[in-house]
Parts: sequence; structure tokens; C-alpha cells
Amino acid sequence: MLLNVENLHAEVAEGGQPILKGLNLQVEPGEVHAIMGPNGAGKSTLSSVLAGRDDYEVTDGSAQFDGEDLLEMDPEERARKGVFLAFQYPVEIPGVSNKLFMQTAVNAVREERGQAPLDMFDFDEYAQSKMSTLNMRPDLLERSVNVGFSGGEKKRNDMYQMALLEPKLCIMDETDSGLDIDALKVVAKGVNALRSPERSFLVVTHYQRLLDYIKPDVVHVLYDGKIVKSGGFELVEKLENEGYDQIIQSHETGQ
Amino acid sequence: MTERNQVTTLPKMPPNARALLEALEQESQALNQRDQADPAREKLVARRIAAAEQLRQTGWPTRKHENWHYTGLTPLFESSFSLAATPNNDQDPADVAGLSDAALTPYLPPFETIRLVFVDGVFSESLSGGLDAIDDDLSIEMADADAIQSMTLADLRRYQGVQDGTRNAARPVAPSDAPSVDDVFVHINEMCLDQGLTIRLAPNKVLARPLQILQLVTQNDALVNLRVRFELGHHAQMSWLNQCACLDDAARSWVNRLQQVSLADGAVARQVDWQGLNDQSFLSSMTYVDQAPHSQWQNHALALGARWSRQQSYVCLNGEGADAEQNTLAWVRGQQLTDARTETQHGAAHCTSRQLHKFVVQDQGRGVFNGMIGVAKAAQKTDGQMDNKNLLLSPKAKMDTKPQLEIYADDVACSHGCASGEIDANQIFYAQARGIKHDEAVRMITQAFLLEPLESIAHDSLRQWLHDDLSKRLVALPSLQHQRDENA
Ligand SMILES: Nc1ncnc2c1ncn2[C@@H]1O[C@H](COP(=O)(O)OP(=O)(O)OP(=O)(O)O)[C@@H](O)[C@H]1O
Ligand SMILES: [Mg+2]
Repeated sequence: MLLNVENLHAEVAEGGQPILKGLNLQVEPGEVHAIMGPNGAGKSTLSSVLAGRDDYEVTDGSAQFDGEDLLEMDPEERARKGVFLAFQYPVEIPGVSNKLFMQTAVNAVREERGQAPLDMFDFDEYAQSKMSTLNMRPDLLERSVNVGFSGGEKKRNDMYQMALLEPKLCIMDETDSGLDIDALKVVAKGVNALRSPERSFLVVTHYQRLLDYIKPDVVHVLYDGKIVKSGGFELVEKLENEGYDQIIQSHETGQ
Repeated sequence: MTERNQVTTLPKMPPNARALLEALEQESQALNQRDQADPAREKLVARRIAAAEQLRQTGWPTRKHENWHYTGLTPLFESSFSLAATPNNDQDPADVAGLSDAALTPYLPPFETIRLVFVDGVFSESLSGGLDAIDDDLSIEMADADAIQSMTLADLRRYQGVQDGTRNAARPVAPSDAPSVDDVFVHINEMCLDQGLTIRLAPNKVLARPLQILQLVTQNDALVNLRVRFELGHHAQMSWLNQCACLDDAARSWVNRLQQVSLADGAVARQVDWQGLNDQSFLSSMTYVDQAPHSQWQNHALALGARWSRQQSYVCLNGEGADAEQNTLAWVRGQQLTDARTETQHGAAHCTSRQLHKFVVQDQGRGVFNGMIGVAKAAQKTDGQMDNKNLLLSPKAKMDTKPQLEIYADDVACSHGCASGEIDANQIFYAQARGIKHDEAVRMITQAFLLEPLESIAHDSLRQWLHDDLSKRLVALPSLQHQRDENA
């Protein structure tokens, strides 16, 4: 199993408000899981906790990644071992060029894998080779990280980073939000190009459209800090037609 | 002169402050005694006496004085300074200090310069280089200060204060030469004045090679008192690099520098003012820039060292269409205090001024910025912009900033902004989520922040060299881990 989350409880580090309340999630290598759920359910929190953001404190439960205790690791260590988070809101870093940023990141991951670092020229070549699948404008690489990028360009840049780092687990937090139809296809194409028997995806989304393109193996509904329902692709269609009310109601009466 | 000293009793001050002031008086008197019999130095002696008297009247500024509130002088009083000893006869100061070319290595840029090296304020011919590139259009004079420095305190005051909205040539009343506590380092510079450096560039001459003025300090408890004057003829162009460094990390020194820059019509001057004094040392620096129509002044002040430093620059845009760019890049750590001040006076129409002052403050460091843009009544269509941005890397780091505008004209575009803050935790997490270590992320973000002002340096290899040098220094960001623990 690539990711095994059991009974995960997490709260806001400052204030102690509980957000994840006993979450279970198992992802096998090569699988694509979609996570849906109403606003405020805890989807971004789950993504952040898995990536290691210290705004949240895990109070109970466990998360194993590739057989190791994920929660013990610093965020950079998780990234080096193959966890990638595409942010709901990618962050701007003024003055740091996208290229230098990504060269540093790629070499950090290479170091972890026991590979020699790429120098400027090798990195340039590598960066070029990954650019075409995502229709990345080459000048975005020369600019400061996400500064002055449009919303769609930021998301695309995150996808591009994901392609460069070749992670094992890709967590995509609402990567499809704010994308136009063409950009959405590009992102879906990028994801599909990265799919492999070893690589898994956790795709957080509110909409069916992206999932139409990437066909998840499992669909989960996250509500009030827990996975309340899991199923196949048919669950997406059901939600699209009926909304969350029924699932939430049956979950709450079932309790 | 001892009689005169008795006329004014010193204001009340702590014993060590008084001791330093009296030590300076003695230094000044010793110079006067030496020059007593020299008729050519009569005027200089009189000026020193007058300046000593002015210092006596003002005493030292205290925290009660508005312009010194954040820049206490207490650390300066902890030791007694005497004027740096000068070699006898015509000995090269490098020989006296036992310096070889190797001492220069860290300060040599990878391109050709006309290099003037001074050891404890005294010119060293043996360490200097590129002097063969000096032609008739460039004059470099190291002479008795009175012969070359005619500027009086009243002249310097022309650079200050809009006051009634008319100023400089337009102002009918001559500026005062009354002593002022704000000019305390000017008074000291004048009372210890001995040698000066004057650099003149002929009209229309474009100097291809940058000038490099390297001030090396070696002596302990030494005051290095510098007076430098640049004069550029109309449409002349030159760049220079000031460097100020200590060769002995343990030696405490005090560099007190007064610079004047006079730019005739259409002249272009670009200065990089680098200081990397050791952690024990002090720097007080005043720069006065006088700009004729369509002249351009560009300054990049890089404040990297010193226990205590205060750099004040006065820029006077006196002719239409003149342009001034002033930048600061300050890295403040340990117990350092770094104070940067600009006073930019728009005295004529259609002038532009741009300023970007950036501070990174860590440990218990303190940064101070004070910037003032004044616009006289006649200076219509003024375009003035001043930005101060500060990054605080530790809870104990402190920044005090005060931007000011004083505008008497009605058709102007002036703005100022300042912002101080920590690194955005989201930025660090974003980098970490890409595998970049916490400290490396901090370093990357800090470096990008601090080095931004370098971008406007037009000389490619100079910019690159400064960039590389600073990046290397920042790799250290030594107490980062410590600060993280402190934060936790
Ligand atoms: N740092 C925080 N401080 C306080 N409250 C927080 C914090 N982070 C999350 N929350 C709260 O936790 C709940 C879950 O937030 P989260 O962002 O995980 O929801 P989400 O499922 O991603 O929602 P959306 O679909 O709107 O993106 C929300 O009520 C949110 O306000
Ligand atoms: Mg969210």
C-alpha cells in the first residue's frame, strides 16, 4: 500500500479546533482517488496534514507512506520521498526565479534518490522536455515563482512542478478550480501522462469535468472531517445530480 | 586655543561621552600645534578651532533628539579613539602595516579599475593599481585639506531643509553656520581635517574604467577621518566603487567620512558604496550631492558590517530634469545597529528621484531608516518615489522607519511606502513541499529580497560580482537555526 491513513484526527494548532475527526483512507500504487465534499469539510486540511504543514496538529491516528511513518517527517523530507502537493492557492515568491526554485527542488529530490545534481544546462534540457505536455509558456520559467501569473497559470505551474519532480503520490487540491476548459484539458492530459503503475493520485475537486477526463478508480465523499462514503465513478454522477444532502443525511442518521 | 575652550562649558553628559569628546579635542589641538608654524595652514587651523568650539557647544546628541532617537551613541563612548597614526616621511602605509597585495584579494572585482587604496586613511601607492589609465581629463588630488576643501558648514547646509519652500539659490537668506547637534559628525570631521581627496573629471569625458576607492583599516581604537570630493564637469560620466573594510577582525575603528559630489549639467555619476567593517567598528558617513540640470546620480549603499553605522545622504536636485536614484541594501545581524538616512530636496522642476531601501534584520540587530523628500515651490512636475522594505528574521530584530514628505509645489507626483514583516510562512511551506529544506528556503527568499536593489546596476560584471559576493555571505545566515528554536 502506498498510503495508509487510519483514524486520523487533526486540529488547528493555534486554537485547537478539531477538523479531521477519524479519517481512513487507503491508496494502492497506481490508483487514482477523487475526494469530493462540501466547502469546509476538511479536504484542504487533509492535503496539508499529509504534506506536513505545521498549522495543524495531529492528535490521533496514523499515516503510513510507502511503509514509513509520514507524520514523523519534515515537509521537505516528505517531498523528497515522493509526496507532492499541488496547492489550492499556489504561493508567490518574489525575486526567486521559477527556474532556480525548480532546479533546487529537483536536485533535492535527486539527492534523496542518490542521483547526481543537474547543473544549469542539464536542468534546462530537462525542464524543456517537460514543458510541451503542459503547454507551459517558456517565459514563465524565467519569472519569479508565481508572481504576476494568472490563476490558471499558477495551477499549470504547479502541474509542471509535479511533472518535474516525478512524485509517487500526487495530491491535487482543487487544481481544476479557476481553469478554463482548454486549461482543464491540459491539466487532465498532464495527469494522464504521469499515470503509471507506481504513481498514485489524490484528486480533490468539486466538479465532475476533470474526473471525466482522468477517470478515478475510487471516489470518496469527505464530510465533517471523515470519509462518509466511497464508491466508483458512478458516485460522481450521483453527486452531480443530487448534491451532498442525501449522503450527509444518511450518514448522520446512521450515526 | 585652550582659552577658547574655556569659554564654552560642555553640556552635561556621562563621563565616557565627555572623555571621548575631550580626546577628540586633544587630537584636533595636536594637529593645530603641528601646523602652527605653517602659514599655508593658517586657515585650516582656524577652521579646526571653530569646529571644535561648535562640538563643544552642541555636545553629543542623545535619544531625546528626534533624529537620534533610535540611534544612540552609547556604544561609541565605550572606547576612546585617537586619530589613526600616520607614517613618518614618505613611507608607504602598507609597508608600515606590513600589508602585501594578498590583503587586497577579497576586495578586487574581476574587471579593471583605477584602484586607489588607502590604509588607515593614507594613500598607499604600492597597493594601488591601474593608475596608468589616469589621463589629463581625470585629476586625482591628495592634498592638504584646506587647499582643496572650500566648503563651509553653511555651504553644506544648503543641502538641508525646505523650510519656507524656497531654498538654495532661490533662498535670499544665507543658510546658517550655527552648530547643530545633527551635524555632530560634520563638526568632528572638520576639527580633525588633515588630508583630503579630490577627484575631478573634465567636461564631456566619459571614464571607461570604474574608479575603486578602497579604504582599509588596520589600527585599533583609531579614528579614520575622511573627506572626499567629486567634481564632474558638464556631461562627464563616471562610476566608482567605495569599499570600507577592516583587516583585523579584533581591531576597533571608527570611520568618519564626509563626501561631496558636485555634478554639472548633464553629468552622470554612479556610486556603489560598500561597507563591510568588522563587528567592533563604527561608521559615520555624510554624503552631499549637488545636481545641476539633467545630471544623474545613482547610489547603491551596501551596509553589511560595523557594530554601529549611520549613513546620511543629502541630495539636492537643483537643476531642471535632474535625476537621482538612491538604494540601500542592509544586512543587520548580531548586535549591529545600521541607520540609513536620505534627504532628497527637489529644488527645480521636472526632476525625478527613485529610492529603494531594503533591510534584512536578524538576531538582536536594529535597523533604522529615515527618508525625507522635500519639494520646493518651484519644483513643479516633480516625480519622487521612496520605498523602504524590511524583512525581520528573528523576534528580537527591530526596525524603525520614518518616511516623510514635505511638499510646497502643487503639481507633483510623490509617494512613499514602507513595510516591515517576517517571511511569509506560506512561502517557506511551499518551498518545503517541493523538497527544499527550511533553512535553504529562508535563504533563497531572503537573498531574493535583499538583492533586488542590485538590479539597477548597469555595469554587468560589477552587478554580478556584488551578487555573487552577497550570495556567498548569505549562505552563512549563521544564527538561523538558533532563531528558529527561539521562535518555537
Ligand atoms: N488554519 C486554520 N485556522 C482556523 N480554521 C481552519 C484552519 N484551517 C482550516 N480551518 C477550518 O477547518 C475547516 C476545513 O477547512 P478546509 O480548508 O480543510 O476545507 P475544504 O474542505 O478544503 O473546503 P473548500 O471546499 O472550501 O476548499 C473549515 O471550517 C476551516 O475554516
Ligand atoms: Mg479546500
